Amino acid sequence: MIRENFLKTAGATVALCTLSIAAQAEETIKVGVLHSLSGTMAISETSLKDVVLMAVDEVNAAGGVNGKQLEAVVVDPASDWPLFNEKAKELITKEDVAVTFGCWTSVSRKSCLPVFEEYNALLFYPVQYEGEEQSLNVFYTGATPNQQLIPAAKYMMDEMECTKFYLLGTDYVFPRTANKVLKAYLKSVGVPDENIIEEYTPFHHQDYQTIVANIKKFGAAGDACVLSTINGDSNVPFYKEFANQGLTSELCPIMAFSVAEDELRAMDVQPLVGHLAAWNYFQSIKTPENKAFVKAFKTYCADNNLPGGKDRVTDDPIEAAYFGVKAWAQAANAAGSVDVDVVREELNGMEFDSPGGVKKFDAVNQHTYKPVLVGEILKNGQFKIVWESEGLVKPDSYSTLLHTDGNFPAPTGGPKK
Amino acid sequence: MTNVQTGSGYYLGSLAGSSAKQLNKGFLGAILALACLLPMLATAGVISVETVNMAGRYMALAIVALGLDLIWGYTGILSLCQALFFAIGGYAMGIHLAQQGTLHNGIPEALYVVYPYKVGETRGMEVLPWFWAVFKSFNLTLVLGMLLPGLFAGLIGFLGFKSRVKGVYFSILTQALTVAAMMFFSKNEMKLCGTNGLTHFKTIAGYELSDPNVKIALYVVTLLCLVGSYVLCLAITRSRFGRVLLAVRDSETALRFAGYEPFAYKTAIFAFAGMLAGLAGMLYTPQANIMTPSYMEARWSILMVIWVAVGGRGTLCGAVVGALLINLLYSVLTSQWSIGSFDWKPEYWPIVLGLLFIVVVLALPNGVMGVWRKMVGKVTELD
Amino acid sequence: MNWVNYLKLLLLTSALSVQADPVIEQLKKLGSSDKDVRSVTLQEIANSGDQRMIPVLSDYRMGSLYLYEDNVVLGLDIFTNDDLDEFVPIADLFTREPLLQADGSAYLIPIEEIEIIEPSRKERKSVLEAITLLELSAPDNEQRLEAVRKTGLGDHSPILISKLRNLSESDPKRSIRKAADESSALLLLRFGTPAEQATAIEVLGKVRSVRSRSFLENLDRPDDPAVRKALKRITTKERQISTFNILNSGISSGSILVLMALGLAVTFGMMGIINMAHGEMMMIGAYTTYCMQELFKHTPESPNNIFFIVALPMAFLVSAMFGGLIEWTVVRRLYKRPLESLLATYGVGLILIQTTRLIFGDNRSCNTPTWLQGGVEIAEGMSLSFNRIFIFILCAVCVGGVVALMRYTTLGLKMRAVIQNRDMAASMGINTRMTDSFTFMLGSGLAGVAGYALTTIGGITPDMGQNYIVDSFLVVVTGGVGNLAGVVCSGMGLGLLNKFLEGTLFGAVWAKIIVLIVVIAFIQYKPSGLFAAKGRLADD
Repeated sequence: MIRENFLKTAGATVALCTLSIAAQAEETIKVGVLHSLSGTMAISETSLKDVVLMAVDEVNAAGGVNGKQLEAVVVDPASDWPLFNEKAKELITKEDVAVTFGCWTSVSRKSCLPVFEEYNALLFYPVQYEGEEQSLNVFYTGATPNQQLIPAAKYMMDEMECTKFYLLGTDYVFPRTANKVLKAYLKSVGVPDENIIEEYTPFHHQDYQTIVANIKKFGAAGDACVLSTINGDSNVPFYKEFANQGLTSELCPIMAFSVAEDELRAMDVQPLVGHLAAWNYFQSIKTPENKAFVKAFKTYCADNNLPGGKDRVTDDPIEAAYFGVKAWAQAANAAGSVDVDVVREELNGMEFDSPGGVKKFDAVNQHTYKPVLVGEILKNGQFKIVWESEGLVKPDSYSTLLHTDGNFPAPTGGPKK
Repeated sequence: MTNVQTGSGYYLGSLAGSSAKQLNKGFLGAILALACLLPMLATAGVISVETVNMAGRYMALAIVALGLDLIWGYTGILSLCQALFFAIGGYAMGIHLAQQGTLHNGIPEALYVVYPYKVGETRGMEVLPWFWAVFKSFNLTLVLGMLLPGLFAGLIGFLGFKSRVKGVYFSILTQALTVAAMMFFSKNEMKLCGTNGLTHFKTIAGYELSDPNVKIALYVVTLLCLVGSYVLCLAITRSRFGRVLLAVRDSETALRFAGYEPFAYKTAIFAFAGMLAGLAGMLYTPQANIMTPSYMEARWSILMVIWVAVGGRGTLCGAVVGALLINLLYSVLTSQWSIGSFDWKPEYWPIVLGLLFIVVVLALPNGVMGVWRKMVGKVTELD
Repeated sequence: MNWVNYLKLLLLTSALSVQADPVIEQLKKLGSSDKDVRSVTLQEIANSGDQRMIPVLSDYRMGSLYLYEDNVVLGLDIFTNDDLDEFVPIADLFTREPLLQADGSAYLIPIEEIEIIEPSRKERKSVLEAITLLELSAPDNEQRLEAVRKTGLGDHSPILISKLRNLSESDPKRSIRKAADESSALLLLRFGTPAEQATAIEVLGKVRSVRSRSFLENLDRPDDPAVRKALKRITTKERQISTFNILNSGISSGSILVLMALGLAVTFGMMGIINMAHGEMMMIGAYTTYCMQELFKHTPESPNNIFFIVALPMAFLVSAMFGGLIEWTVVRRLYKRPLESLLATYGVGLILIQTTRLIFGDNRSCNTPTWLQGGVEIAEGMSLSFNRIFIFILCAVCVGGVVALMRYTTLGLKMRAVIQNRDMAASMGINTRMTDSFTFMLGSGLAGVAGYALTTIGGITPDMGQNYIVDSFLVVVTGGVGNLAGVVCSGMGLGLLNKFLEGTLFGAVWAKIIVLIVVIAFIQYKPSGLFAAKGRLADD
């Protein structure tokens, strides 16, 4: 009797975990949302989940995809890298999603990449990253190094007349590779080795006294700048310490690659005012399309009682996550199917509208053509756009600065042979 | 402090009657039967092969729990570095697997992407570090994957126990060690692939990892290893050696007076648990397709202890059940599902799991196995 | 009521008719599209010595000056309506009072209808230099000193040199005279004739000017004995500065460690409870500070610093309250199984983190009160930030408070009694339950204070406590469980060691790894920490 009971409960548990909400599968198309809602990355990724759900609502309001409504399946990979892999499997094999929108960190993308390739599924990845990857199963809607790092460094040299560069980052793969690219670029334009310093801090580093003192010494002559790839909560103590030791944006400007409007909400902005950031989108872009998008997002957050409500802001990754959904829906509608191979064909080289203006996917490498903007931080936590690239910049999935021989690895994944 | 802990009968084995023992065996049998059934269900197409893969990963984690139970439940050493030994095993296997996959410029893809160049080095000048070459051979990897964590655990145990570091001090010491190791493994210069870790494995021993049959095979191997480890642990606890371990837990001083040298026993069992964790890491990596330094974060070490506590400390069965149960719950709670009109939102999982941990510790000091025994006890009385 | 309106109208017309002021005409020229006109005008303003222009130029630099109806006005914080249209409230240039319309309401001008007067980013440096030049004749000593220092790295002009010379001869403050010497030497070194350079090198060596190092090196005269002598003297000074900085940052990071570990020293060290939710108590303290900020409506634009004073007791009380709740529901049942408190409190931590996240969301900021921003420079290159000084003092006060409480109060006596021998204490009539509750609440409250202090350094996130928990435990264990003096010593020691390693040979990451290894080795060597344990853990 006991044994039977046990088997029953065990069976129920297994059933629960294999449970797919299959009932509505006929009328809707499922899309997966794979963003951390708890753990260390929730600070950034929760906003992306919100905007993806909003975009799904908008697509549905406009008639859905091929006459069917979209149904978002939200999971929480909990900032736990192996769980990204597991959840991706679950979305693809159990929920049978047509496409997945997700990931923030490179390691989370690398963790679930094999799953998307194994099952030939589709992932939209919305964050700027270090490049050096190209999978046929991923569409990259964030920037590659040449769409963010290089133009920013060029701006510092041409506009700000900086000759010394302090490359400061959190010790993980994006800053490491970003600084590798930056160094290669700076060297290629003739900056001597002794004018470049590279420095890393651990995750969640809170104490920047020593480093800021070093920067102060390095930039004593007034021609230095900081190129910062500091991540997340370390930014606040860094900028605070910077201001407390008497450095200003005129004496030593900081160009940040990981500070956007959403992060600025969590910061005491005052010490940051006047410093710079390079992105492909800012909330302050003054087009009617963007205003409508920002307003829609604020209204969405307020209506759904999300924390922050009307005070929520948009930023680069939020825009990229948003137009990813829209672009996928556009392609699926145009192709008349949600089959991955068909949609991929349609997406390659496709032009589409986004809050930040018309963009397009590269015909081959599945990354996005984007404009590059440099913004100056204002005290209301927004950016004043001080520089803009002429037209869209072509994405380089593999940096031409690191692969001077033009010998790029072949893309991975793709249709099953 | 050890005196305090022994208060409420941790050593359940001695409490349970013979009929309970039989039921206990039945319980184990049921788990085993279910475990054996899984691959069959998968080949029949009833469940997804990924469910089997998931079960395989959880069983690998259960092996760590077994080791931890030996040193915590039986010997009374609360170690917070089992995750480190697990990761060492995982890295050994990962470094081997990464070399079987795509190569760029002669070095594995995972390393190529994050290769830390020195001044003057450019693309095309990458060399495979010597410690990568060691793991080229599959057989050697299998040996090293258990030997390295075992030796390392032995060393830590030797130094720690020799100078009589005890109780909380040992826990904090091992925790510090794990955090230091995480930072070490995260550094790009170490050529261990930084925070990205090792990913994108293609084949194991010549077989495609994406092949469903290989997945099932890996599961079966894991299951066999789990059963093997269980039997081994059982043998240890029932041996004279095992009784000394219990004595260490209950009163180390008394044991020393009796002419034993507790330090040697502790070191030996600690090294053994380290080897088990290494084995688990080796089994886990090909099934999870990733190994990163994040396994050495503080939360993993604590979670592993919680598996054992929830299952029932001091019973091997409890360790296995706890690991499987918590991981299954974790997986279910982080997904979105609905039963009837009830919609579960994944972002609430920490609240439910947190409550569970509190309730288990407060109300079920002997874990799930304790409840089971009580139930069984009542049933046998009724019979 | 007519006369009131009339008066307002009069005031307004007078406000808008200050055009007569030549300054306004000058400022209008700053809005010219011709770069040369702008730079000449800026020079004129700088040379005028008009102290009123210092804040106006700062506004110009920050892009807050606007041209409205042929008058230059100050733009206050931009107002955004629900349709995301932006409006500029305008104010008088000098009084900074909002300008009022005829009906008494403030001007809100759509941003499209108003023309901004601002420098290009490149020009901002010269604006700063112009401000500096004006500040050279500021009455305030601090301001003047700062300005004199800055001039050395700016552009060279004959007026500047003569001004500096004047200061160097006749300024009442010695430090300013010295700084003026250094700055003019720097200018001569960079722009002067070889003969002037030679004197400059000597002066710079004499005053040990750290800032001149890169210029001296760039002279490319490594064999010149004068340069070598100067560089040698500068190096000595640099060593002093770096030693000071290591000590300073070591002590301040040490005091943070002590503050964090202090609460833990009470709950873990004295009671033996491994409270994994200790970090979350810190988080609650930080969020209480945030709530106080919201309650008192403190914003960078309209500071209301009272919030920070109120937040200190509130952070303590709220965290203590949560601590009491945890003690009452969870920890109380685990006094006999201290190791298991680790597991239950880990669960408590999970719940607290995610609940906070669901209520507050992730991105929240706490603005430091104005009096904790910035720092004081005690010598050139040696500055102490106010927030670090504050944390140090807070830490000292807390340690002193806890020691006093333990030593000199009945409650403290009871606490020590219960810690040392619970049963004996109980039989002497001490209510051990209440005492336990109080002790735990005290520890949690101290954690809340640590969280409160941390808002002046970093941001606040739901999982901020997780970053500190391992460090805190290490400090307590190294110090010797149950010993406050040990906690202070080990916290300071670890802070100094970390900063010493970080500041000298290794980067931040290696420094942290090495500190951890040192701690491990130390525990090996002294298994019960710096000071031997007293209290419940001493049985072991």
